[in-house]
Amino acid sequence: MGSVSISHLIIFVASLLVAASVAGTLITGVEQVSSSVDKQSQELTRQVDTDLVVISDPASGAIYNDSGNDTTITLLVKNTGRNTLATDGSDLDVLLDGNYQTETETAVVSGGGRAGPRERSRR
Amino acid sequence: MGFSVSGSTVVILIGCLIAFSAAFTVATDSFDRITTAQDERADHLLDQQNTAIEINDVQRDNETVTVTVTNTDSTTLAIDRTDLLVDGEYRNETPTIRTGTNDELREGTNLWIPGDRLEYEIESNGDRVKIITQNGVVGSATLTEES
Repeated sequence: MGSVSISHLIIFVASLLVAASVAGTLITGVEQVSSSVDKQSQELTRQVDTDLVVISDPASGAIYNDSGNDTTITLLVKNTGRNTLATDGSDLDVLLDGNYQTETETAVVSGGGRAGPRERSRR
Repeated sequence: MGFSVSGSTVVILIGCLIAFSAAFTVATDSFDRITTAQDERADHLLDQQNTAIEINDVQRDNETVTVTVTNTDSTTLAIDRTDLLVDGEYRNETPTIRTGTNDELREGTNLWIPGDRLEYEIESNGDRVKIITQNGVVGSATLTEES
């Protein structure tokens, strides 16, 4: 009789251990998924909050400067969204005729902290 | 045997409850965050639709270009977030504000109320002016009169 209750006890402890490890794995998995969902929602919110408008005046001829060998394209970009973007332009990528531009200079031309940076792209 | 089954069932059940509550909190938080952002975007787009400006005239007297712009729709705009380009060059001039009803000077305000006129005086030889409001609505004009 004693051997039966001892084996019952062993099976009981073993089943508790198995159940605990199953529950632990479940909780860890769900927490990982939750943290990904959280990060993705933050990223999505940033995307929804960001808005840009190119405000250069195409009729003025001030965009393309071809005097001499120093050909530059000056684009004025206004941040019209609610999101703050880095003033050094590290948040912005410039494509010119489909080509990624690496030699770009960015300067903020108006104040207020939320103003649009001035994108200066060189080719 | 009965104890082992019910004991392990309880442990798994508690694990499921903890996991579900964690997932539920995160899911509602994320959903709320995205819904709020989309609501604000909708508000922003509505403001944009309700924004219109009209450049009344652009005049030049020697080196001084005078531009008058009216807020013709129903959104109140911020003056420090309104931009001015003359011949494509960004200008940092501060305008004077006049009321639309009795042409009085409005001072010490940053609000461009519907109907009010902004007057820019710029030292420039340019003849093309573009004005951009805070939400990207644009008005542009060329010199209407040279005196």
